[in-house]
Amino acid sequence: MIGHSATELLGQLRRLEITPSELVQAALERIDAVDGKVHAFLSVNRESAMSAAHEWDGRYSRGDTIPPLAGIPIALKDIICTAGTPTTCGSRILQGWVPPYDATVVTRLKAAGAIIVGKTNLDEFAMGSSTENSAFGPTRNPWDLDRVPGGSSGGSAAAVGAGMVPIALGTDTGGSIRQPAGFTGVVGLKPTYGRVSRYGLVAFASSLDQIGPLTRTVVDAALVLGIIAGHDPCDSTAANVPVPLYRDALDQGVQGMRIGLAREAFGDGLHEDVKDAVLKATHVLEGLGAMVEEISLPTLPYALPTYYLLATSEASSNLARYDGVQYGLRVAADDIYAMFTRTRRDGFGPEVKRRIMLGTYALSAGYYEGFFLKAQRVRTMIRRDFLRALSSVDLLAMPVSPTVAFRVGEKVEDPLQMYLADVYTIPVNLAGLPGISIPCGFGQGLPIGFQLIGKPFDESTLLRAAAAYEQATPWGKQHPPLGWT
Amino acid sequence: MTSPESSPYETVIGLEIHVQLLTVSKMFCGCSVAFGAAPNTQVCPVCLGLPGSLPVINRAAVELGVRTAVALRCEVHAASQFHRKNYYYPDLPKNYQISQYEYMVHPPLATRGALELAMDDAPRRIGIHRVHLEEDTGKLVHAERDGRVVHSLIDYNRSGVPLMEIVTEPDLRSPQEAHLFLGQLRALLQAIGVSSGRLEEGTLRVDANVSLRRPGAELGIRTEVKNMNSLRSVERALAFERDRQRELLDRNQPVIQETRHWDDRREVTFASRSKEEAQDYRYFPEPDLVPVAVIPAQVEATRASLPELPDAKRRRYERRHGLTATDAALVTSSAVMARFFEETLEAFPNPKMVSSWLTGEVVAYLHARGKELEELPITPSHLAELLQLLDRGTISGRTAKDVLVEMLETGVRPQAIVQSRGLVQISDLAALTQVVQEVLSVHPGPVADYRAGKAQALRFLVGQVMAKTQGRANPELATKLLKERLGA
Amino acid sequence: MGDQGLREPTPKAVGEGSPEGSSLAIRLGGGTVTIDRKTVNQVARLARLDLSEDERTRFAEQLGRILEYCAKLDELDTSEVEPTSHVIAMTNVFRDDVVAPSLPRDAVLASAPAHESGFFKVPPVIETEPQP
Repeated sequence: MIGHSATELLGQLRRLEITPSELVQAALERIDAVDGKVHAFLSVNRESAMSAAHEWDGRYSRGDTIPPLAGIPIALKDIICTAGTPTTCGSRILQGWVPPYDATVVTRLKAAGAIIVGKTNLDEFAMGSSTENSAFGPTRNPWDLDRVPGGSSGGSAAAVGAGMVPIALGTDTGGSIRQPAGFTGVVGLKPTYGRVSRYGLVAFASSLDQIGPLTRTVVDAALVLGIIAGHDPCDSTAANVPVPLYRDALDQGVQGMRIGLAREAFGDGLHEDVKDAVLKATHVLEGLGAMVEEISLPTLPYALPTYYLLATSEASSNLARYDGVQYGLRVAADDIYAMFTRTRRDGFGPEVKRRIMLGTYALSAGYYEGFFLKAQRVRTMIRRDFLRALSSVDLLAMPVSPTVAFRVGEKVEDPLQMYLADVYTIPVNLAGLPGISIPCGFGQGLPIGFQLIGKPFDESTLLRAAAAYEQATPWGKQHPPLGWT
Repeated sequence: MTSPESSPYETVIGLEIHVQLLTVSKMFCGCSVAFGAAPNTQVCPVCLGLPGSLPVINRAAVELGVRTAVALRCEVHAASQFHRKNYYYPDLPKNYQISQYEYMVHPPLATRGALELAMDDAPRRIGIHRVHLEEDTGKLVHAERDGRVVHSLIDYNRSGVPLMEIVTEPDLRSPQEAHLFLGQLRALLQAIGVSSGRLEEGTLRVDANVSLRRPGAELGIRTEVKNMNSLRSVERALAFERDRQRELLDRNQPVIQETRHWDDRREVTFASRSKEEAQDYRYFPEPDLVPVAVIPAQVEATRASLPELPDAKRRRYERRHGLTATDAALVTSSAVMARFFEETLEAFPNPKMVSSWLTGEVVAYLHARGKELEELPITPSHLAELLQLLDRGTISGRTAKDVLVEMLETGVRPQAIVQSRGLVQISDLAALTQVVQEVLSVHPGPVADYRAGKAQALRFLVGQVMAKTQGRANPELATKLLKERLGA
Repeated sequence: MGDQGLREPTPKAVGEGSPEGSSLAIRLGGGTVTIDRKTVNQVARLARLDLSEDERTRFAEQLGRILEYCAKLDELDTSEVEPTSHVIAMTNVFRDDVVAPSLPRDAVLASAPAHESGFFKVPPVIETEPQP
């Protein structure tokens, strides 16, 4: 069962070859076997998972109507609220906090029959590119335990990459699904901004955050997206755009599809291994009938500073609520001011503090126009640039990250260098577009991903091209040397 | 204290009014806004600001905001945006308040309107700077022991209640004008069904900005005055602050820009131990809420749906019924009073009498008992009946006042009160002549005085006739008979 | 092309390195943006963060470098460009004015670090703030 896609497992479940209990049991055993080393999970819900599994056992055996994910074990990044189970956001300030409500995506997944096996590790409040900023220790890359799995959804990526669960949800604000997917050799999809409800997603940067699936295959990503996507009256930024049947697009191939390669993405700082693998991937797509052409995205070099001003500004406001009053950590003090400042001093890690400081500064009187407002204007230019490029092609192709997975501890001391890891993913969040990372090779024995970017709400085209590539290549069938049986 | 009229300074007052909107649910979530619930029982993830929660705008709050903006003749903006006002305070669950900021790129709901102050000489136009929507904060109470605050307690039931903020231009020129303005504004808000507008209950809250300047000069340093919990305390607080600033300026001392609290008991404003000086709220557009678009057709439809506004009603009363501006303003000061007036008029078409009794005796009774007109057990037909009895001479003016009080207290019809207490006015010639003769016979002094030319003596004698008849004598007839007898 | 205020980078074929212009690598200039200690203290107070001496020094330096990098945005002429607050073009997303059930109070107070008689309990909230 390890390493099988959810789609395959669903087939086996429907044919009564396996039961949900066996599946969940296998997941729990796999977690026990390897998670001591990988540390993908922050919490595992054994009892509730097994009892949900037993229920689905009954329904399968009786031949009841089975919803699309029934019996499949999944993991959720610990920044998504789950009623009754702790949601820490990888932070000491929320250690032990139990939300009294479920995120909308959780409600939808439960209705689809998915079994939540546990919550996965992340960079604190989703701020980071390596999962080293977690207050509870880093997650390790299943392909090389001395290396990072990427971040901030490193736990979800590692859980899927190591075969602990076939599906995990992550979140992506500047690349936090796609970059770890690339580092761990799995599929990672960031939907169009507004495609998936953010209700119950603990906010980092509200105008950039999206929830999306990390899976072993493109078909699974399509399956999960179909379940979690769609309008939600609890989220004013969730679009009222109909959700297509993504499965229908998957077998259509890429004949005649036009794919643009931005020349600005292939300059300085991109590792040779990664560049080669990405270019080879585009050749594969050409071989399948796509037309690859060079385009220009002149605003690309401005995306990183734009992101770091906007995301940190929104974050500085979103994280103001963590003050010890209603929930989470409270450091005792004689007056309220001291309680606030000491609670936040002890509760937040250095990266979170750094971003709060930066964002507070960018919004403050005298700097608002020069920093925040300026960045919002550049964001308009970036979005226009991408939409213009996509008006002449169907998709854009780009690397996911400039390098393969780096070593734990290698970049933590230099924040600017760490930020550079997201240079290809950040512009996509700024433009609000959908992006997917798919395995396309290896460098130094470590996975390399390449990225496809689509038009707003056109995940179908994205998934179609990704599926065609996946079917024509062996990468998705590889697995890390982590006691795979 | 020199009178304000002789002051070399002009008082400049601007008001910031927070109005609780008449909705059933909160601004951004479905929790009830009903008053008086046990603490923290009307809250949810959204109004508690729990991690992961998101706001969704209450449609009715926007409609009421547009309604107010139209009634105040504002420009309603085609697209407006909510903003975050970032500051830390325990009654603010997210440590930011969702409000609407005026910014070059994003306007608030409405700007640039006006309200005309009904003054006896000429109406004055008070500019409305802006109208915007925001959420209310929770409530903080302090637990004290031995005069020291030992801890603080927070109830979030009020957090997220829909508020509308109305900011005036600094066009008010006296505390009296401020009082009048607030009365008119409140009447307007009640008339259009936007708010119950009760200062004492907190559905209407007022902060004021006060400064002094020499006429024609630049605006002076202003202070902000808070904690005024009734229209009368607004007037008293502003008068105090004006006088305080006047004294400083007279002594060539500077007015410090600060926030001052009104203490109703001690009748002074005092500088509050201020929060951070010049708060930096770091406003930015609320990313969780998309803009609100109001099309011209909606503004027109809103305008068409408004009832007759108090201003228009006031002018109509002045024109049609010949009331003075002051009386008309008083009668239209609440929608209930205006309706009562009109219905009484239907049964007793003497506007001057109706208005004079309503704004005189009835309002005096309401103030003395601390009640509102709608709480009284009477209907307009009660008042009409009383005035008919008076008009026909069945009862005297003084009797009418007594009957009114009993009627307001018990709800018994005036006719019945007069009957059961035998209060019918004595107009019988024979009976009155009898009394007059008796009075004249026992007061030879005043009789002589009157004949000597002292007019007051007559009033004394009339008073004696009234006293002898327990106030029931018809005073006009009594006077006439006395004069005849005295041979005038 | 239609975008305003961009300098066209020297066109290069994909696959060739480009030493300047369209580089995505972080290149810092000569250290023109400095964040002094006073600013760090002010920002920390606004953000309610009690920072150690060490953190204040480190943040002053790191924030300075990051902000200097962000000054790169000044290369773009944005005078005619509208700011983007939402990448999604929607307006008038409302909910109807109807009452929905609130949370039961024990769920509300379940995570409270301190509560009393149904209220959240906190240390005294006094108006003044201590000056740094």
